[in-house]
Amino acid sequence: MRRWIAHKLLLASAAALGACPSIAGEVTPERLINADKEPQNWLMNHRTYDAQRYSPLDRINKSNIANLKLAYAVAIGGTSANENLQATPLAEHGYLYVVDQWGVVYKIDGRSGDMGRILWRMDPGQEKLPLSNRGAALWGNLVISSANYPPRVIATDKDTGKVVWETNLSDGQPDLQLTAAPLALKDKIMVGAAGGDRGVRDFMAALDAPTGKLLWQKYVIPAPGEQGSETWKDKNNAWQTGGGAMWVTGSYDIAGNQLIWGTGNPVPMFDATYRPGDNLYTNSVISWNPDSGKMNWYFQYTPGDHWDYDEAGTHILVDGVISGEPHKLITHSARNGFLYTMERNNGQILVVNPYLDNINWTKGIDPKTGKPLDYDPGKDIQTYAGTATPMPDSPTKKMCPGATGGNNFWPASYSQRTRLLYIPTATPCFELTRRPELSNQAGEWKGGAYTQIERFESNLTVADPFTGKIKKSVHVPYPNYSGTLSTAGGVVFAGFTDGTFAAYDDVTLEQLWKINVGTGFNAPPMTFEVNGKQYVAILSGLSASARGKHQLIPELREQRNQTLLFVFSL
Amino acid sequence: MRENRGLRLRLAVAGVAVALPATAAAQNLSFGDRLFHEKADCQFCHGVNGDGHGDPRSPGKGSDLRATKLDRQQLMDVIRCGRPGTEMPHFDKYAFDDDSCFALSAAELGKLLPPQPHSTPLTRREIEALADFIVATYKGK
Repeated sequence: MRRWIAHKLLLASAAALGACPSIAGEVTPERLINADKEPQNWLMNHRTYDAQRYSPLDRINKSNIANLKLAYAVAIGGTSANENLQATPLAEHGYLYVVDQWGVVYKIDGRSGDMGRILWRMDPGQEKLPLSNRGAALWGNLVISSANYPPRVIATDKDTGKVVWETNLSDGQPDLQLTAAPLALKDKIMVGAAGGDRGVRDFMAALDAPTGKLLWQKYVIPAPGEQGSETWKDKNNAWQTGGGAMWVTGSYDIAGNQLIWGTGNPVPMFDATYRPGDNLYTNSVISWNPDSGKMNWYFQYTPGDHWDYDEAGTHILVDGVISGEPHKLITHSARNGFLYTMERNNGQILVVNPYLDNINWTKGIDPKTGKPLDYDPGKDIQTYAGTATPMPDSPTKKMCPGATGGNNFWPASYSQRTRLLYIPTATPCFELTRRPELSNQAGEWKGGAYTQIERFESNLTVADPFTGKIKKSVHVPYPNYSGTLSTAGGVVFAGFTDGTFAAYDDVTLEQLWKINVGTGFNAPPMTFEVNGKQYVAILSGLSASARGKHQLIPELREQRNQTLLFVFSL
Repeated sequence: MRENRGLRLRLAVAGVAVALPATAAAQNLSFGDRLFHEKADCQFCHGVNGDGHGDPRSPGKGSDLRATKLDRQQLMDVIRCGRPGTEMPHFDKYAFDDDSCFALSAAELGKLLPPQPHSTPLTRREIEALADFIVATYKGK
């Protein structure tokens, strides 16, 4: 009898181990490279290095999504109704890892499927709130997160919640912030610096994953004498405060060993006269060698920007056929309103097409060079089409897309099922006034101010990255500051600032399901599976900037704000 | 001895009487501080130090409250009614239900109507506390 009980105990422990492989498994570089082979998990910010935000899970699909319901919710955050959440939760074997705006990391046990128990919280003790915090990375037995005031990267033991190492990256720049989720690859942690809009010279850094030691650091804005410095023609030393923030996590080309990361706008954002020239390497995509920090190549979307057309948003890696030839590609729904698809190994533009129908800042993009048709390399201050360009004699102009751009930090997704992109698109135009008195070393870096002149609404736009063609678009009367998630179940998820979370048919864009939770979303949705059941998760809580977009939406005037993790299942 | 006790009692009462307004004032400033930095989120545009260096993503240009020439009543008026033609919102939800702000109705102001706050409207008591906080903490500092 005793032997029988012992046998049962042994079997039970073996079963428990099988059900909870996190005990046995660390998040190795091999697992991260093969993250697509762990459909149940979401191991990095964009799920896989290609940043497609596509999940192979299909238990939730077109045929049953009408039955999707709230499984549980978890309160996240501090004490203020003005906090926001922008992180994509990570998931490993039913445990979720999220980060709030205070830089607090949460480990949540979601294995039961009917509640999310917080197992530990690591609080870095931030003095005040940064703009946002977009999430964590998993490496080994560590959860790697960023925190601010001062800007730090922190490694937390995944089991105990205790800090293992902490590296200060303040770089002597008081307004520098770290807001992008770090990216773990090989034995390194890649970190993009942000806070550029406050007059920061941003950079990409690589840390040694086991110890946090800084391995290399490369600035986006070149110093005088460095390649690209000739594109800063001012007498204000604007390179020292020129921005180029890397505030959204990049992607990684495994075969080519390239880190692909978008960069933000030049600063001051609305006053190009303070910083004449093309302002390299702002508004660009940069390929870095992750081992040495050497730049392989770059492509700049909007040189000498007037409109805050920052291109830090995701760059998605896809393979496909263009003009009968197979290509390895990068595709990017740019903030300036155009969809670009380029060669992955050198950034050469192969496809470019507008995904908005109201663009007025340029007459178009040269399909050969990828540069705006009205770009003049001989000009210190680009005028482009003139229609939207604020100049000294006409400082106020209507700009389309508006200052948030067409697509922004809210990521598009690429479905391997349909081979199409699902782009959350902001549709309004803004009115912009250049105000050079707002460009100065005293800490004022806007260079202008914008006004909303129409209701802030959005499109869910489906585009073919291999032709640039728009296949379909549905209009939504509220901002999509959240992003999209596409799945093998044929469903595309999207969140909106009015508190609606919805699912769409990935072919017809018919809305298949929706719920309104009463608090808005500006974080991307994700999905995971545990114990044979699929879940969809999203964090709520709007930033002041997102709530400000409700200014001309009277029915949302009284909407309140709460920071929560919502998890849905069948 | 009894006289002494009476004197001490009177002094103690007087002390409480003096201390009470100071405590109340401190509480009011603390209330205003919380409104500025959290509930009303004034700091988003005016900066955490009230110096006009707000969040770069904030609309318009928050004024430097350290350089303001407005007195307490004028500050309350601006907080309540906003500033027409700018991004300074009106924190009194009912400010334009009549013509008590600028002697103009919402219809008359048209496109110049100050926007709603991104955070929350405030009550009269909150507007008073906020003005007191700005005068005590930022103005002329």
